[in-house]
Amino acid sequence: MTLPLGQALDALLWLTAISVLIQCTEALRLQAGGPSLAPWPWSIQRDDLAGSTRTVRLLFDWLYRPAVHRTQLVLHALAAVSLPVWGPTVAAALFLLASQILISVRFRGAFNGGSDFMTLVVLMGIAVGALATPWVGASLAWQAGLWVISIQALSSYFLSGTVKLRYAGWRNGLALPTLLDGGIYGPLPADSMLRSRPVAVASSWAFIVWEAAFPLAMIDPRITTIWCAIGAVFHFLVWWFFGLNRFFWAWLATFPALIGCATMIRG
Amino acid sequence: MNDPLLLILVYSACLALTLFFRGRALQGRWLFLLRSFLPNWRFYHRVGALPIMVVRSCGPDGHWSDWHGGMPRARRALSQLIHNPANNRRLLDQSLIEHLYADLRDLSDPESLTGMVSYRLACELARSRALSDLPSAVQVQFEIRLIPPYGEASADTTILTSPVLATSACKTPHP
Repeated sequence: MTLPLGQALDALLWLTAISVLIQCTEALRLQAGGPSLAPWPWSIQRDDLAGSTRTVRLLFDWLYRPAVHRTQLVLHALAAVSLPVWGPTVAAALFLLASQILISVRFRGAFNGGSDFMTLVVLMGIAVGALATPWVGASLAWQAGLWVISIQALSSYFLSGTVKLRYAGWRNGLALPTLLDGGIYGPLPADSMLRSRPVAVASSWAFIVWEAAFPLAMIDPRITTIWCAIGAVFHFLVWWFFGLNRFFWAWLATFPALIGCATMIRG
Repeated sequence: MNDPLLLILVYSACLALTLFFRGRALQGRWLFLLRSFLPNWRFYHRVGALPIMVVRSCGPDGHWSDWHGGMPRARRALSQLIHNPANNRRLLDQSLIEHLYADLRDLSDPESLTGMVSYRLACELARSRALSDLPSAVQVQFEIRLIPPYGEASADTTILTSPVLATSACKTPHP
């Protein structure tokens, strides 16, 4: 499968909109929830900014008042939907980037770890494309935007895979069932196949090789597509065991950029 | 082999080197809050000691419950692939406990513990958990215990025991 620039951009914008909408809907639900769901009290968390100027602290106090933060989340969702519907304007792209940073700061840097990081990467790529278009033309600008996303997505898979090679627990299969036992939907059933050492070793090595070989998959867009399809299954499994639904959508949004860039390489 | 692919492979080789040669860790309050810009992309790469929070609560009759709590657990539903706020909130709270554990390891002055944001947020979390288990709870206490690699948490692995806290502070509106 090849993905020309225009189609890659369309797919990127739709998947980003879906991913951001899911995040906003969850954040709004938390805002409306009781004490066990509501965000941590800003009255305590504001001390993270103790070293900042009074103006900065007052600004953040205002931004994180529940009504203001709720409004920001609604605008964030609307801006995300505007990307595929009305096109990626500079205003929408920059607002989404700034707003995503504010959402992360409200949760001490990240609400959901890696999914926040990858969402920011995708929004940075879109901002690069939208900002550079008037200067270098849409084609070059969006190629740059897609590459920003692809480089980080490739880094995420490659590093996540190769770093596991350093740990004996991953190489000998002990780590996988232990980590899965700790998942939010865990522990694994006593008779789970993944408790069998040969299955755990084979599964561990399969994912390590798949992740570490991702840069090589860019050699041909058809191989990239297969790697992304495995990626979709992988992220689904991450949700299945760990409940990380946002990871699924955040990484899915990078796949059009990866396949689009592989298509560019192929020429 | 064409040039972009060669560049990707050279870049990957440089990334691989960072796994062996790591510089000084950058620290700073704003760096912590803006760490989304500096992802290290290392997920579940090793099985290390994992901190968990256990709480016990005291009702109006003065009776203390047993310690309870641990890893966040939930029942899976396919709809949670699209909308999963409660479980994501549980995972966020677990992240808070991990940040508190990291702060405890870096703590040079034990007196400064009660002023730390992560500790104060953990107190709020303990109050919230106690009240959700026992709405009439008047006091709560929490412990941070470590699950050793490939092991289980126990009272012997406690690294922090909080003082007895009043639950009433939890009712303070925010912000």
